[in-house]
Order: sequence, then structure tokens, then C-alpha cells
Amino acid sequence: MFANQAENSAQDEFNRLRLLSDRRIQDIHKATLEILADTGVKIQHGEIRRLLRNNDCWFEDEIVHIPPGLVEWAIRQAPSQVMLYNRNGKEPITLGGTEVTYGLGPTLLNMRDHKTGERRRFKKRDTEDAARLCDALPNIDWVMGLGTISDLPSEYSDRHEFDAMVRNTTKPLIVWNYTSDGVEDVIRMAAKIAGSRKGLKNKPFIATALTSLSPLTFTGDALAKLKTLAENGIPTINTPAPQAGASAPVTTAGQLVVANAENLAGLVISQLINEGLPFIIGGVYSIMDMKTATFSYGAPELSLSLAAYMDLARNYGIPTWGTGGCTDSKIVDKQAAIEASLSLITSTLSQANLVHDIGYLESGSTGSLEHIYLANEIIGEIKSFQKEASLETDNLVEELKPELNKSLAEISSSCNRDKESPSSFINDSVYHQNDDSIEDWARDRVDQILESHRPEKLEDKTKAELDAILNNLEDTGLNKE
Amino acid sequence: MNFQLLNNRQRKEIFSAGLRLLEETGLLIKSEEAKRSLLEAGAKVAGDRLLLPENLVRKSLSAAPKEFSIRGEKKGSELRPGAGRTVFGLEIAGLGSFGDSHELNRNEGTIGIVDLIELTNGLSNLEFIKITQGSFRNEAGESGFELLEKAVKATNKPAVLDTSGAIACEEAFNFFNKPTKPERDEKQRTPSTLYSLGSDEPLVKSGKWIEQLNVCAKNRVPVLFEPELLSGEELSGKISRKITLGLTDWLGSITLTQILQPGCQVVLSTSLTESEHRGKEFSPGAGFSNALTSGLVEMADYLRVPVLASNAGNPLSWLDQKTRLGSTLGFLVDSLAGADLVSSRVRPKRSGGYPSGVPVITDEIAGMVKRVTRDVSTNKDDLAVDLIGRIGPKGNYLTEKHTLERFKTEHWHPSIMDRQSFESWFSDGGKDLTERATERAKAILDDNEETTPSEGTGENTIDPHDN
Repeated sequence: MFANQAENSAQDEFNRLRLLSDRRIQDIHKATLEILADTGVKIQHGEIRRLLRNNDCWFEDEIVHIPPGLVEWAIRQAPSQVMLYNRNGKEPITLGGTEVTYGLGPTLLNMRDHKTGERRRFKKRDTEDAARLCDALPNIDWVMGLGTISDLPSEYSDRHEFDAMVRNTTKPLIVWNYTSDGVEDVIRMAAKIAGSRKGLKNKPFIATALTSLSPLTFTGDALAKLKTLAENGIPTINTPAPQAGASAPVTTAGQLVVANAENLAGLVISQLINEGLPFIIGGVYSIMDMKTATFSYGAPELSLSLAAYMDLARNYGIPTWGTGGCTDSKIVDKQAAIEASLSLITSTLSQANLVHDIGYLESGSTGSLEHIYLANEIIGEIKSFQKEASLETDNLVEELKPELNKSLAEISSSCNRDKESPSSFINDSVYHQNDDSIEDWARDRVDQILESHRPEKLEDKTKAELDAILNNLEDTGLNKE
Repeated sequence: MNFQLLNNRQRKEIFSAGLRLLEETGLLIKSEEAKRSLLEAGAKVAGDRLLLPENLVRKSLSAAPKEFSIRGEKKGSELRPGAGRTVFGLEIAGLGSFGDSHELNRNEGTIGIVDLIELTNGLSNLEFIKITQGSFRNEAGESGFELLEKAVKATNKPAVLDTSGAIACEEAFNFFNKPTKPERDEKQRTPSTLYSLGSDEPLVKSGKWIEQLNVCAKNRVPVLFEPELLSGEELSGKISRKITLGLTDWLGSITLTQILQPGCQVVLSTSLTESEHRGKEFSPGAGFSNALTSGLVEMADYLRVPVLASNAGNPLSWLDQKTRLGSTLGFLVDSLAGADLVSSRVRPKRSGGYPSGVPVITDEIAGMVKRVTRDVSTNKDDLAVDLIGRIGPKGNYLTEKHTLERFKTEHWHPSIMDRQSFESWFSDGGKDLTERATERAKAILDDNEETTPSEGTGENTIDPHDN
């Protein structure tokens, strides 16, 4: 359908989970265009409304109607590949192809303290620990702040979140800001590390996530952030979270239409501000559990809807933002493992480029370092599945025949060879070797890493520059620590 | 929904390799009668082996039934291998391996085989059981065979039985198939059990294996072929070789079966037997095991012969055991690969009895996977464009008729996965999943006892090992 789509080779179709047929992708796309044109989206930012009006959109009050031609233009403008570098401008991860990468999520209010097991408010120290842990974990590819820092003034917590991350890992960072001023400050800080704003734009080691408000609303704050990001050429992620049954239709297809309308509206705005801005689409599409009124992070519908959306985004040729490694459980137990596994498996097999929300407990309320460690192990097994699944089928007969001939000859010459009893396998297998709980087991390993791992340090000059920016923030409370 | 490990070229190459291996390496048949039948059908002698020409294998493959039924005692409980629907089941390992009747305590989550079966009867996402008989007596003096008999009497679901060769005793076979209700003729048309025929070694068919096959086929009971794939260090390495080996063993078994007993119903199995790991530290992990299983399932789909995918069929890593990763990954990818039957295993505790939480958790995983693999419809009602237009950017969908009429079926509703607020969860005792699963198991068993008077067990038992 779109030019970018041709880049997906036929071979990619194997080893990839595909949920939607071409016809169903078209059905959802057409429904989305209808909603954008006829129903419209709420744009709570006057300058952006005017920008849209000047580009063939029409509006009544704050509701802007976007014509299909403009949407399809924006899809064609958006880059089909985005490179995200590490702090040193090296080892890029490529978003937009088949590469799947994993990282944390943002804005949790609480932390399950890995030393005491206590559930408490999230602190700057938690972001520092999470970043350091992720720096050491081989299957975590990038870092996000995990929570909203509560032990410093809230209006500046996003700058401290970035500071905590960038000092404790060289891996790429996904940033969450609360205001456009926050976006600007973080870009200033990141430019100090990259050497300049131009250097940051050329080899970005940050991308920034923002969210539309389902259903079909972009707040003034979100749009102000988007404007600043677009003007600075920073890769931008839109992450709507429509709840099936509450802020979106209860059906999967209806939920996908609402999510897609928000993503494509965001895409249109981003490309009008800065044609060719790297823009990444996806989100958190789950259900509102009708029994508990919870937005579920462990529901199988989350896995289903996101995997289906990957088909849609792939059809547009736009890099994707998935969700996995999260749970509704309050602790790191079997529920946490099963729910995290299911969403990680579907995210991986559907080839989401950036899989976020690893480390989430309690339906997106509480973070856990142990859960991050567990997810790292689960991802390792899923990668092993994928590696094993990359089959070579050349020379099978030539390889197997000599071995089978030898094996059958040996069997033939030793008739009635006794087989070992199957009933004593447990005695010497790896089963039952350790009765620790998952959480205790993970906690030991987290402690070992935090005690021993030393991330590559920033240069003293750069640290001083970051300190200066933070110290200039009004009443940050940093010096009160 | 689609997920494939193997593309068409790879499937053809593996199939061709299997045909060539049977034609050039052949089978080792340890039964003179079976050898004679194969020779009459066109097989060729090469030393102590029989080489199977490609046309003979292809002809046998086309003769194998593509679809059939296995019914359970419960009304409407029926498996239809080959019909295109994946069903999940519980695989019960180590029956009689440990003190099965020792220190059982429902409250603490340790139950015996009859309770385990009764519990499974109450779990709707688990539609069959697979039971492997152990070889030893438990501390109550019951043999694995007696425990198996108890299990078969207690279940209301179709059963896959691995009797470790006891089926060769026709008396024992007839006991399991003793007609109760309905009449024997009806029972023969729709069997309630599927018998497992495990291979001792790849491409070797022992006299015992052939004897079991004959007993099953004569009684029109379908058989399950379980090739041994992980034994032998010489076969380590590329997973495609193991898939080819499994396929070759399947093709040999199908050929032998259709020549000895034309029309015999067969199911292929990806089960990897446990014994080969005895004494080894080797743990293939969920990634390896599931890739192998899924590849085999796809090849069975290519052959158009029903298949049972067995997960966690070998001692997995500690992490796999603790997290149920093998079951979660396996249930999903095996059902996507087109498996007819998918099972996950429960093992006895070292101290005796089975953990009651495991079947409940397995049932929950099966329910989640069934929801994930459900088709995404884009009809007008599901797209809900009119509704989205009416609600617009301001409102919500909570009280809409569209929501109220559909949320019970659109959303999966957990039995033991917790979605409460932290405060509610904490005030309920702050239990983990295993504790909640154990509680649910107890509730199902207690409720079952109240509604169904328990029947006596242990009467008329026979033990073919004593013969």
C-alpha cells in the first residue's frame, strides 16, 4: 500500500507472528481515515490547530478533521528506519526493520524496594539503580526512567530522571518529560554529552515518548512537547493507551481504530512541523478489567492488540513501539513471570522494535529491579528460541546418514539393551535444585550486579555541565540531598 | 493468525531428507512377522535392516486417517485430531515414582492421583489428560499400573496413555477398554484413549513396540508415535537434524502401521522422553525445546497427520520450572504451528504426591493463550466506526450497549491471576499465584466431593507386571 512497505522482504514473513490479513489491515486503515476525517481529533493547542488548518484540515472548536490525503502524505514522509545510538554515538540499534529491542517504562509512582521488599514512593536513587542494572544486563537494550521521582520537586523530576539515567548507563535512553520546558532542558543536557545539538540530531542517543489521551485527544502539554521535539529533530514516540471498554470500544478492531487514529494524527502533526522527523508508533492497548476497574498490564488482550497493531504499523513502514514484560501481580511471582512472558513472546514474534514497560508490577503502578532481571532472563530464552528457529536444512541426509548407520549397527549388535528406568529422572536432573522463590533468586543477582557493576563514567567536564544545568533549576532541592 | 518457523522450501527439504533416509538407511525391525509384511509390500533387505522405497512411504502416508475422534466420559467431551482446532491438556508424569499416597494434604497443595484427575475434570481449558505409568510401587504398595487404572476410572476426559509396555498384555488392555457405558461396539467406533508407543531408539522398532501396535490396531484404538530425539550425544547440534530425525521416525512408523494394520488411526508426538537425561546436567531450556517442538508440529502439519505437542517434556532449567515459561511459550507457538493437541507436564513432588497448583496454573495459561490466538474480526460491528464517531473525543464507552453486550466474551476473565488494587490484594493476605492456585484446587475438589459421592477404588485391579 505504501512505498515504505516494499522494504519488507518476503523472508521476514517467516519467524514473524502475523495476526492481520492484508484485507483486515485495509479495513482498519480505512476505518481510521474515516474517523480522522469525519469525527476528528481534539487538538488543545491553538498554534497546532492553525498549522493543521493551513494544510487542508478543518475544525470546529478544538476538534480538527484531517483529510485522508494528508494522512497518507504524512505516512510517506516519515522515515521507515530510525537509528538510535549509545551515549558515545556508537553501536546503533535500528528501528523499523526486524530488530526487536527491550527496555523499561516510565512514570511508575511506587517502587518495590529490592532490599526491604517494602512498597514505597519512587526515588531518584531507583532510576539510578535501574539504569545501572540495565547497563549490565545483556538483553536490555535501552533504558527508560521507570518511575516518577518523588524525592525532588515534581516540576523538575524529568531533568533529574535523565540525569540519573545518563550517569549510570551508556545504552540509548528513552526520555519522558512532563512539559515542553522539560523537553528543552533535557535536549540541552543531552547536547552537552553529544557535543552539540547538531551532533545530537545526527546521532541521537535519546528518543522521547509522549502520549495522546484516549479517546482522540491531544492535550496542550503533549502538543507543546511534540512541537519542541520536532523542531529539534529528536526521534519521537507516540504511545496512546486506549482501554478496551472504557476509552475505546470493547472489541479489538475498534480499539485498534482509536489507537491508530491517535497515532496517525500525531504523525501528521509531527511531519507538518518537521518533514522527515523520525516518528515511532505503537502504545499500550489493553482492557479495563470490569471487575476491578484496573487497566490491566497482564491481560492477554494486551498481547493480542499490540501484536495486531505491529502488522498495521509494519504496513505503513513506520518503526514501532511495543509493550511487554509487565504484570498485574504485586510481587515477582509466577503470575509476574507468566504475564511478562506472554507479552514478551508476542512482542518479540511480532517484531516490535522497542518493547517497553519491562519491570512493571501492579498494573503500571510499581517498579521492581527483580522483575527487570527476570525479564532479562526470559528474553534470553525467547532469543534462544528464535536462534534455534533459524534453521539450516542443507545436507541433512549427508550429515545424518553416517551417524544413523553407526547408531543402528551398534543397536543391532547389542540386542535387548536395557533402557534406564524413566521413573527416577528427578533424582539427578536440574529439577528441584533450588527452592528459592523467583523474587529471592532475582534479588540475589540484582544485589550482585549493583555491588559489582561500574558503568562507564561521564567525563568530569560533562558532569559539571549537567550539574550546572540542574543547579540552575529553581528550587530543585538537589543541594538538600 | 500465522507464525511459521519453516518456509515451504525448508519443509520440502526436511521431508525429502526423511524419505531418502528411509530408502538408504532404513529401519531396524525386530519382528520376523513385521519384516515379512514389509518385504511383501515392497521393502528391500540391506543386512539386518529394511529399506523403505519412497513410493511405499508415500502410499502409507496417504492411507493414514487425517481426522478422527476420541471421546471422554463426560458428555460432549471429545477430541477431533485433524479437525483444525488446538486443544490443551495436562500430562501427568512419574505415576508411582514416589510415595503417591504419602503425606497428602489438599490444604498444603499435595494431592494423589485420583484428586489430581478429579481436579483436572473441573478445569475447562484442559480438555484431555496424558498419563505416563511409573515402574515402581508407591509406599502404599500400589503399582504404577494400579495407579494408572485409578486415573483412567476417575477421568471424564479423553486420555492418552503411556503404559510402558503393559499394553502388550492383552488382558490389561481389555481391562482399560472394558465396556461400561456405552456398549462395546460404540466404544470401538469412538475410543476414549490414545495409546503411546515410544521408541527406544530412533528408527528401531522392537518386538514389543510391534506387539503393542497390533493390540491397539486390532481393537481400533489410535496410537501415538513418540520418537526419541534427545538421546545420544552424536545427535546433538543443529535442530533441523533432530526435526529430520523425528520426521523420519514418524514416516517409518506410519509405513509399518499402515502395512500391518491398514487404516490404523495415528497421532504423531513431539514428546521428548525423560529417561535420556538421567545422569546428565544437560538442560535444553524452553527456547531449544520449543523450537524443536514447533518445527516438528509444522512438519506434521505438512504431512497432514494429527499431532500432539508436548511441552516441558524434558527436565527444563530451574527458571523454566519456576516461571512456566516453557508452557507459556509452547502453548502459544504450538497452537500457532497447528498442533491438534498441546500438553504441559505435571511431575510428582520428591516427597510424594502432585502439586495441586500446577494444573490450575496450566489451565489459566491455556485460557490466556486461547484468547491471544483468537481471530481479530474486522466486521462492521467490531470496527465500531459509528460508535467511535458518536462517542468522539469527549466521552467514554463504559456504559454503552456495545460494551455491556460484549465485554463478557471479548475479555478473558482470569480465575487466579490477580488484578485487584494493592490494598485489596494485601488485605486478602498478600498471596502469590501458587497460593491462590492451591486454594482454587482445594475449592474445586471440596465442591466436587459435595456434589459427587466418591466411588471406591482398588477393586478388580490387575497388575500385568505381576504376571
